[in-house]
Amino acid sequence: MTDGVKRLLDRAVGWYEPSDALLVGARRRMERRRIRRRVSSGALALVVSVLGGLLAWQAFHPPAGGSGFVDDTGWYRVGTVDDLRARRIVYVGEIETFVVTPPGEEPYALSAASPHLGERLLFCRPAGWFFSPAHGEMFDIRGNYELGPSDSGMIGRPVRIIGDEVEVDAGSEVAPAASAVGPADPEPSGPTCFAGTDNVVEDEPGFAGISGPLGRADQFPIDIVEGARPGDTLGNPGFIGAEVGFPATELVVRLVGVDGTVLDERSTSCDTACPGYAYADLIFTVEAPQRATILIGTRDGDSGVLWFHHIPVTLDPGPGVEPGSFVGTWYDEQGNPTYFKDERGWHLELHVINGAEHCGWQSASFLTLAWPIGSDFRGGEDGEDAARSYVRDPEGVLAGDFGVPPPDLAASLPGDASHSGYHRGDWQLWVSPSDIDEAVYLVAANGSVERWPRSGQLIACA
Amino acid sequence: MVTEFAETEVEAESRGEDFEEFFAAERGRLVRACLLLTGDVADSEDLAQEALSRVMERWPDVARMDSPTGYLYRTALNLNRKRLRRLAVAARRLVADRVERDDMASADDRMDVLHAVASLPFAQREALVLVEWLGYSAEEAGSLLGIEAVSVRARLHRARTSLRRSLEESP
Repeated sequence: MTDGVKRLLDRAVGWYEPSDALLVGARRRMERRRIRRRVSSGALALVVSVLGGLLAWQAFHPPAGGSGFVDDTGWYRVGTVDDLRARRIVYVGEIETFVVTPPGEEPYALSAASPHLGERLLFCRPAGWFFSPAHGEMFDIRGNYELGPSDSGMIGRPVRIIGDEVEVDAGSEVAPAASAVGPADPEPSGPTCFAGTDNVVEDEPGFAGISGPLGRADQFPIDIVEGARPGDTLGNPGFIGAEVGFPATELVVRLVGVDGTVLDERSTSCDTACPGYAYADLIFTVEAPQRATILIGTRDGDSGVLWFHHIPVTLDPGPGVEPGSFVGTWYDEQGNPTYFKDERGWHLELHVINGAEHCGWQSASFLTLAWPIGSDFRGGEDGEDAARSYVRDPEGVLAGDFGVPPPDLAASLPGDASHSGYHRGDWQLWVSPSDIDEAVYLVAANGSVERWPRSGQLIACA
Repeated sequence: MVTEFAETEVEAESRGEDFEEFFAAERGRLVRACLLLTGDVADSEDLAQEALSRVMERWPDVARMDSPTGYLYRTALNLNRKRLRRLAVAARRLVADRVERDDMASADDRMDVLHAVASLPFAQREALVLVEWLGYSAEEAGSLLGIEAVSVRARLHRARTSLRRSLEESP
């Protein structure tokens, strides 16, 4: 039977060959994650340095002693008792744990992983219960099981108080907190955090919450998993994903300026429903500090109504990339220069230079890319077909004579774009299979994207 | 940790230090395994791509593991479970129906088999793919799935029985 089954399965899928885009796609996904992490951590660093951001930071991190692992045994310092008591429920993202401090009681800790299948639990403040947007389990404020497929209460974690500091043992589990700290709260009441037009608050500031790397669980159901928090200063740009805590047929994430201008918008459609984790990225290049609002819209699958929740944010330009710093020697994935001279002469895989002053082209930049990508362009030996030229001509000095279109200095990456591996300083070269004949993309460390159109000819200043 | 596995023959061949070599050795088998798991070509490439990207990201560590291939498949299995959880209950039904049987295709027995596999409960499908198609032992598959070998055998038995019944009933 075994050989027979193997043959059967071979026959079912043996014909199937993966597409050539598999590796490109995998690499692109990896690069996107890396960039998100970098931007996200950049945003957090910026928050610390800015007064307004500092205030927001302190809302999550008590000043005394800070937070973090205190040793290598798994004890994690969460904050002071007073601070935790003031906030009552705190989500500690790094150890995926809720710390709850009821009035007049000591803090206790609950794992944010559901005892059912380990899916992430959220806290629904309007209702006062923990719930799983994936499977619908519900637990009361003490972690007692209320509803859904789980067969136990939430998992507790040991808590100790050293001086004034509360610490949680992230590596250990204890019986659900309820049994340790007292009777369950009354039945959950109030609006739920699941779908339905009756219980979704439209346009209520702060209702849609944000959890960055530090996390915050008191304003769900909508969870921005990467990016800024209410009142935060965003690094430039913020990559913002949203997890929808209830079924929806469409997710819209929109960045709106104070004058109502839509600065950027992304949407994701769901064929049937998005019971969890649909996401959209906002990529927005901030030119100057400004206030803005993130609108998160979810279209209710039943009513078709698009509900918006907004989060005010302050947008500041990111740390910045030195103008023109893309000019010079670039390097390949292994760190080897892509333009150099040896005993055989000049080798060029990729090079970026500025236009010559004596032709009046100094405001333009030229990117020469050996073609196909990764080959070694030897100039006259290979002929012009062996290289392509992409031009950044923001002032249009080449538009008349050479018909070079203007660059898009605040571009968005096409969906199939991936990092070529070429880089220089703060810059990476990204290419898109669908667009490589027309343009290449330069992605800066601060997340801004420039689209450099291709010139039909290799342009040289005589 | 996926350190307890003996290397399969294919795996031994794929043990290059270079990710590109690993990728070249695994790509076909991975997407086909994902096709068996998901029952859908687009989903299988999506799943394979995501699993590969995770492995690629950790390649220096993964390359030092006893079984990079085991890690790759564990990643794919976990991602697929996560995907199914996201799709939730409604999707379970959809997954079973993903491989559509139009009139043209019904003559093709490979579609019958794919449909039969896609209709299996997910846990049985995992066991079937790991043991029958990828060649892991029940013990190795159990380690990958986080269950006892005896449970793997039980799932396999049910999977084979369902598969046989389902194919006997197909036109």
